[in-house]
Amino acid sequence: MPYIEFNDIVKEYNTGGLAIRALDGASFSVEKGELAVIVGSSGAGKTTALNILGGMDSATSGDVIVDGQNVSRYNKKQLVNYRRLDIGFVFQFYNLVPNLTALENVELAAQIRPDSLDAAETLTKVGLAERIDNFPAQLSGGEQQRVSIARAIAKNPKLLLCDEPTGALDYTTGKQILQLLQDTCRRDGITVLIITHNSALAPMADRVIRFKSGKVRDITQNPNPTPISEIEW
Amino acid sequence: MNRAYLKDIFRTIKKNAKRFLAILAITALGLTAFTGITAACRDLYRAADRFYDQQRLFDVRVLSTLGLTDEDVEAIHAVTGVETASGAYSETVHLDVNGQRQSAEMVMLSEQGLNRPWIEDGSMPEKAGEIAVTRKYLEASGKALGDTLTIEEDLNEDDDADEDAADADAPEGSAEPEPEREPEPEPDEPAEEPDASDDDDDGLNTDIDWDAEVEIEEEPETPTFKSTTYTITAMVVDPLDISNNEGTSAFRSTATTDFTFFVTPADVDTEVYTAVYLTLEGLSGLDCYSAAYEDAVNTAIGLIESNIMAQRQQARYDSVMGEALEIITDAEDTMNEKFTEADEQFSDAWADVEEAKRELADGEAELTAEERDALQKLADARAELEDGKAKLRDGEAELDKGEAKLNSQAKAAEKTFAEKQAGLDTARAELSAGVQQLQGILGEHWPEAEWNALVETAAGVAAGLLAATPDIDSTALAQQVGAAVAATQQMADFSAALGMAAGMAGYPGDIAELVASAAEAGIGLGVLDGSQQVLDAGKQTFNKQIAAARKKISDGRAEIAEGWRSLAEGEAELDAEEQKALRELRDAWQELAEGKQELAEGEAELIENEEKYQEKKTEAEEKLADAYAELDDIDMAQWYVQDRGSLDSYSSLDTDLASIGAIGKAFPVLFLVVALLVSLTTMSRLVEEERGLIGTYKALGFGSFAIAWKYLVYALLASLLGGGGRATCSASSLCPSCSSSFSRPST
Repeated sequence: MPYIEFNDIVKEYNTGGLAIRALDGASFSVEKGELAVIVGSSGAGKTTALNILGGMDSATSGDVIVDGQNVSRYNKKQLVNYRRLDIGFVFQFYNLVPNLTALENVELAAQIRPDSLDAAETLTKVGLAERIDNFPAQLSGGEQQRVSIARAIAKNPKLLLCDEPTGALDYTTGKQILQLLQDTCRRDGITVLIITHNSALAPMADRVIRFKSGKVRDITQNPNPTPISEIEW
Repeated sequence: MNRAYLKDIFRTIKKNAKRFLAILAITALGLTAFTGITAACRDLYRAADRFYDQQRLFDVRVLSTLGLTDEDVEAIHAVTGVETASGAYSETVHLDVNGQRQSAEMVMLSEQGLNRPWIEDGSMPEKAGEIAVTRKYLEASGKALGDTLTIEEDLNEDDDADEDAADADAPEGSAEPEPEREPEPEPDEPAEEPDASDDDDDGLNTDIDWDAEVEIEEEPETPTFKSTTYTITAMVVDPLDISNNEGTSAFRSTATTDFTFFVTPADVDTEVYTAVYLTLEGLSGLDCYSAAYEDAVNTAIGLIESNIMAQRQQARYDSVMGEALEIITDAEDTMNEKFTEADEQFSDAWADVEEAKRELADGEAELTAEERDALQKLADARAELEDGKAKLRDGEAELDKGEAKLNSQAKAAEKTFAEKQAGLDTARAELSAGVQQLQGILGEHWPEAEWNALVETAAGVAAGLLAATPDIDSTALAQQVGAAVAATQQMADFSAALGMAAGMAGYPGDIAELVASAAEAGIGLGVLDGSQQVLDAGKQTFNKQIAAARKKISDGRAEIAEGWRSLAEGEAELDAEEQKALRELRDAWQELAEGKQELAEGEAELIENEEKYQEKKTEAEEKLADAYAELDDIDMAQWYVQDRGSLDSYSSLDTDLASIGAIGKAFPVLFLVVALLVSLTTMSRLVEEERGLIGTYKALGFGSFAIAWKYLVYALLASLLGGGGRATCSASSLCPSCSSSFSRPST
């Protein structure tokens, strides 16, 4: 039984009689503790799938089963709980709370749930020990993203979903972030899904899921993922 | 709560401070509008309540349509819950204010200290002659404290439903028909004058002094206020009328007088109160505009109305009615007395009139009868006169006849007498010659006395014999006489005497013859004398008779003449009398007519007078009936037990504040709607701007409410701070908008 099952998800938008399918029967599965990378060109449905998986969007049809629970059948309250407890999300554009310091941002996520990690520790873990009292405006992009990751990690989630985490970052910083993610996955055993449109990153993943036009065209398993530091693009 | 989240919230607020302040401000503004107005209202209510408590404004007021007495005050005081009861008096007076006659209500200050006026300046009047006035008056009159004012002496300004003085003063009625006269001409028998005489003066007096006056006396109006001039000692505010204090036009002022004045009870002389004011126990802590106060007052009013109102109303009504009834019944009695008197007088007068009529009728009848009689009598008299004339003429004729007869008789008799006389004369001559001879013989010895005595005797006898038998022959006579005489003393005496004389004289002859012849001669003389006597006597008698007859005739003539004269007189008199009688009759008729006229006039006057009297009587009776009706109109005393709501200024304050309060409720709604909209737009914008953040929160697993909570806190805080702050500010009455005229320091 795969940890995550994405079964034949259809996401359809009906605007003015015209139906647009962001996801058109996408299916994939991910095992626990895997680092999965979702690749595809823009508009392929990656973000939509991640959002659905993260409980932030609902599928028109299909099932999403995470750790034996059919997430797509959750009601609102269950979804909130799901998001709160099981999901850690990292956004492309960080989405930190600008009013709060790094520490507070992480605390914000940590204080949502009972068994969270210590915020300061997490920040230290992501290498921002000196930055914990800085506001996002005072942090660089990479630092912000780290805070974001710290925030996601601090929740102690089942899944860590990252939507193009390095999209706004430069090469070096991006690598650092990815490294972080990889480390987190390896170290903490969190199932990590990363969306990227950079197919060069495929080797880092345990599983590569390729999206095209709303469908999963390809799922490739990688028994020996390459450490990020070794990947150049 | 998520501490970090809270921090986010507050930092959001800080970051969006302007928006926050905008909401805060608009909310504060809206609340200002609300609380400001509401607080102002409430403050005014409180201030008014404080003021009223301070000035000991009444809680309940009792009015009566028939006024109130000390007994009423006591009864009211005895009701449960009544703390103080005070009888009050007020009256409208007039005075001159800068040339204009204006009205003012004079109020007696309460002895128990209720409804105390609030002093703006000066000190309250303490004794008679002092007065407190309102600012309005001082401004209008230009006077100041210490000046005096003078009120008009108002008497009888009452509009009581009491009795009016019904004056039915009538001029004295009089009807005086002229005294009637009854002429009574009384023409009598002929030769008597017809007579007309005035009768008694029937003074018909219908001079009636009647009086149908009904005067229902009112009690003499004494002025209630003892002085008319007062010294102003204070400028005050009347607690019963706080809205009419200043200026010439107060908004929604409903005062009926221009000013209000206050005087001490020493200046008021009254037995009846216009109102009783009372305060209730334990109400000073309550706000007088609150429901609790109203309930307490209503309870007290209920008690008064159920416990004592009916009895007191009845008592007062009885008292007033009793007084009034007494007055009216007195007047009625007087009126009835007067009516009785007048009626008597009238009936007397009518009786008199009837009598006069009767008398006039009688008089007329009499007059008619008497006229008839008189005329009859006149006619009779005339007839008699004519009779008399006829009789006279007859008499005359008879007299003539008689006279003629008498004349012839006289003539005849005279002739006879003459003859007889002649005879006698002859005889005498003869005798005398003889006697003379004798006498000549005897000369002085003649016994004259005896001679005369003899002769006399013989004469007497002869006369007697002649008288007895007038037809006696002379010879027989002589014989008889001689026979008779011869036996007499005289004869004897003469014979003797003669004898003597002859003796003396020396008669040569036969004395006895002489004596015999002398005696014969004497007898013969005596007879002659006697005859003469008789003749004389007869003549005399005849003459007498003739004379008598003549006299009689002349008497008769004279009588007749007299008769003619008196007849003429009588006729003249009758004429005169007729004239007189006719005149008098005429006069009498005229007088009768006049009398009738006057009677008619008098009667008419009497009728008129009576009509007037009846009119006045009716008037008086009507007035009395009116008075009784008015008495009926006096309804049962009606008490009006009122609370403060009956005061215009109190209730208008209430309604004004209620209106303002209503505005204070409606108006701020507008503000708050605006505040709502402002908040809405602000928050909407904020939410819009933080959409991504919200998404992040959602992604982090925040529930919808938890996310909404941020903005709720933001908005709530803004509005609560804005509103709460404002409300707090208002509550502490620090804001200058809450000050009012009542926050002046009170004494």
